[in-house]
Amino acid sequence: MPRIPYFPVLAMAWLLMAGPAHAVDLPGSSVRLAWLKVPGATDPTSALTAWAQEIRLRTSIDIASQPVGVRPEDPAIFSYPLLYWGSDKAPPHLSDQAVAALRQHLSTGGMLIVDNTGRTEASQAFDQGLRHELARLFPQPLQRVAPTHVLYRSFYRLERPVGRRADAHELEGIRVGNHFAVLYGRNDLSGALARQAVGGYALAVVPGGETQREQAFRLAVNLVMYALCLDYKDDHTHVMHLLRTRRGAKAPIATSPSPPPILPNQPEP
Amino acid sequence: MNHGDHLEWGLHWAWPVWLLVGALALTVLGLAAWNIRKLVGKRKRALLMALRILTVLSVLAVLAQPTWVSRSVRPGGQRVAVIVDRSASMAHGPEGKTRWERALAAAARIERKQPVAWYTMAQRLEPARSFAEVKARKPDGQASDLLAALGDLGDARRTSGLSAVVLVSDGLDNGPLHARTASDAQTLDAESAETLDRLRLAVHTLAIDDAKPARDVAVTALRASAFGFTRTYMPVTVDLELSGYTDADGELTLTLKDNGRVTSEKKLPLRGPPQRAIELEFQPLHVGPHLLEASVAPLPDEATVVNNQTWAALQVVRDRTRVLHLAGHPSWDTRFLRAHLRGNPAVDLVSFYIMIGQGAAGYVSGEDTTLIPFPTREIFEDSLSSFDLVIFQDFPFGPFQVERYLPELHKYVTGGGAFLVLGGRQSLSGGGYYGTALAEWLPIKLEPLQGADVGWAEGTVTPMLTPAGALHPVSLLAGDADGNNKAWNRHAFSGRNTSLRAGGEGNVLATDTAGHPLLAVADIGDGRSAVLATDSLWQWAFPSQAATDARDVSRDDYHRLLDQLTAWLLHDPDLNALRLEPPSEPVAAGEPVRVRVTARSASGQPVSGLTLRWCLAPLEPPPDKTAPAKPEPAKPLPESKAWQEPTDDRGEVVLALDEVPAGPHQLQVEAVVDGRNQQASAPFAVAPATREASRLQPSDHLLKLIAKSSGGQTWRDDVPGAGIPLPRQTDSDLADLDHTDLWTRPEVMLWLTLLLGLEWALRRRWGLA
Repeated sequence: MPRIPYFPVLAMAWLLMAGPAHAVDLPGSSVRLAWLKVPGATDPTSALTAWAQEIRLRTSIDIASQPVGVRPEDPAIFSYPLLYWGSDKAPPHLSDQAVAALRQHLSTGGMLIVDNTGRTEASQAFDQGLRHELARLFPQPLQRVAPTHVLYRSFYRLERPVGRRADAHELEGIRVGNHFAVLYGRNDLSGALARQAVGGYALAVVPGGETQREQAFRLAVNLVMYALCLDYKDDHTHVMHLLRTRRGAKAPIATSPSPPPILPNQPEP
Repeated sequence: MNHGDHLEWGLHWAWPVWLLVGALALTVLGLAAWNIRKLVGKRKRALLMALRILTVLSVLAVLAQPTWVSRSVRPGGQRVAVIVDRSASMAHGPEGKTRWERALAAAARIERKQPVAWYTMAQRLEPARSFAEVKARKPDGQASDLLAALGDLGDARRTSGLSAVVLVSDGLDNGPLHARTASDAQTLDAESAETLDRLRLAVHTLAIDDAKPARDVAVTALRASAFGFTRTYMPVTVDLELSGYTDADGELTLTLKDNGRVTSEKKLPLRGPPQRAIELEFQPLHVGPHLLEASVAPLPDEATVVNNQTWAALQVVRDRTRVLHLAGHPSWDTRFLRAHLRGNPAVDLVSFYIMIGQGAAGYVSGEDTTLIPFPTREIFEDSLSSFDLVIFQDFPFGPFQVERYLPELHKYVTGGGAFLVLGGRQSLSGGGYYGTALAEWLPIKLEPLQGADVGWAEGTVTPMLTPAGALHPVSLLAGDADGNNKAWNRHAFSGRNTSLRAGGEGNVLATDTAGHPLLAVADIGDGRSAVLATDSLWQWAFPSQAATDARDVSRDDYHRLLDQLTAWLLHDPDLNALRLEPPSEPVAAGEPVRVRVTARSASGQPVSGLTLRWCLAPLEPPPDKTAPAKPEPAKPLPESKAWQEPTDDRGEVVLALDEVPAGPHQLQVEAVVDGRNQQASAPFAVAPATREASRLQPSDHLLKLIAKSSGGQTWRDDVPGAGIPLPRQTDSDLADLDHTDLWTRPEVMLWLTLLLGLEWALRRRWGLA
């Protein structure tokens, strides 16, 4: 796999962020990463900031650069449809108010990304406590996210989820309706994204080094894309079929010999 | 009494019946003799017995149905029945005199040789007292039924005294005889032959042909399914019959129209088979009643043009709504809209999201991603017409070369498509829409960006309904005005598009508190467009500041607004206050046209006691322009009339329109519902009588078969100089026989009553029961 020149990429990202369109954090429809302020939770500000930067750099998503922390029982969580919860410690018992608010949030279109940030391995204390708290939210248990799920194709093609670690080979999630409203990874995703104040990455990525870190960033991009696009990429498995279905089309699209060329600087959908 | 007068007995019953009747008569007489045996006096017994015998004999005579035949000898020889066809086809004649005129001339020559009993025919036989009466008639019969006319003549009362029949016709039958006789038949079918046999006369036929073949193109049928689906191509077959053009050069133009709009044209060579079935395709765009018209342009030497078009009505329904959703970038607005659309199983959603920014293309490797090229050409050239609704969501079309396809998009919208623009920083003026063709068919006017204006303003936006919005089906979030205002007051938006203003014929339904348009809609030609100048409608579906109950209400508002917006854009008839059900097929000329009208309020309740106004208008396509064809609120219909009957408890009333001239029409109906002038229209057709015009070329085929079957002869254009050949004369040939049914006369009843009454009186007098 070709290595991406990260320094120029990051430099370009900073340049783009300095442009007028992204000079300020955008409220309203723009995406802002929000993390749950739960006792014992890791403060992921550095990681989420880098996450947002990469989203801006690589995609067309209009995302605020600064994340925000919010308590689960705070009605303000409804200003942030995408929530992050990372920790390596046993979670506290959530209040009934927090459980109700989170259930409402996730049932009506919100999404929660849970990250087990255990240092050397996934924290068992967090894992067990999380499952207990999630059981209070939804009756359905966490289930394995199949490698063929659209999440692994929502932007990048990914074979498996990785983070700072790569020992858990799959994500888990809770389905609400036709999509996963809760996604749980045990590879310390935020650890792979976090930066030091001076500019370097905060933690080493094992065992895959920088290549694995890039895969972690790609997973982070895919998670946000999935939150915003749901099963959009599943459309593309049958979109050509839909277009070829000759319902009013003057000529079947299948007659097109090849996809139209991408013009210089023309973005792709 | 003349020589030859005689009595005829019916005796229609079989002999066992007569045997039974005889036995019954003897029994009655025997019982009578037994009954009077003790009566004193021989004379009395003989008188009573004589009366009973007379009564029984009288009854038997009645049962035998006696008919008196009186024979009146008529001087002047044998009569010939001459039947002149006066169906409408006889009015034709390519050159010189019409067939009717030539038929009369030939018939007149018959009368010079022989006495004639005169008749004309069209659908039935029509007796005439003289040739002058025949001449006074017009060749305008709307059918030709040769067999029915001869069958009428077959009545025994009419054939007596006749020696032969002469049928003068162009041979164009459109009754059962034509239907039962193959073009290569050598004899008549048994049923038709039996009708002729009953005449017991030779039927000679005089075929009136044209000196030059009649030239005509007839659209004999338009075959299409009675139901269709929106934007789904359906096959249509047009049956043509060409006469006299077998070897002609040139071509004819076949046109198919949908509700007055030309949908396809086809050039066909004149040279070729006379009967053709032409296959066409038709794509209905709107739900509701449609009227198809197939027509051929009149040719210079055509005998008639009344048969150059025909119609078919069909009802178009929507099976699935096919939506093209183009988004400038993934956002919460796209996410919630996608969930909304995907949540509707009747929606086929085709989405394209621009997923990377312009600057990222250089270092995001396409191999590692699932990105695909934006299939601009496939969408806008090949597939656009297949979509019911096109959504541009915060979509800056400029960088994706969509601008070159704006003519196709314009054609799509004005041709009946639905176009929705959802705002955002990359949309409308901020997305470079100003000055493009697209801006011309939006319901708001765009302005150029000036100074620091980037086409977008941050901040909380409080929406306010305009007077038009308070009544418009798109923006009705509650059944009443107060509830609707409350519903809108509980919502807000984050940010709005700037550099736009109300203008043109579009309807602004909601603005911010400063009057800047937020939601606007417009009719564009046959299609519709709408703009929502913000990208935060999703916050209605995911409200940040609301109690749990209010969240549910808010989400309902989100879905309701989008559903109503979509339904209005798609011309969903369920949104119309007035719904029309025109006839399901063309109405025959002269028949009343019945159209059912149903009135519903905005809340869906039937509106009773409503007085409708209506008028008929020509069925013409709307002007092909970008300006709205139907500005709202609707202007009152010109020259409309009030229908005398109001709507009933079900909100229904049937308009029965009399004396509607032949051709396609548009019924327009209006009424005030919910305080607003509501209008609806529906197409229908009144078919002219074209049965006689379906075939125009004279044919002696049937005439020859008739003559052959009855022992007659066939002549062309004139009768033999020697007159009509007649069979050898007998006495009966020279006389008229007059039949009088004696057994049905009232005197017979009187006679029987007298006998029975006298017998009863004598029996009472002489002490019998």
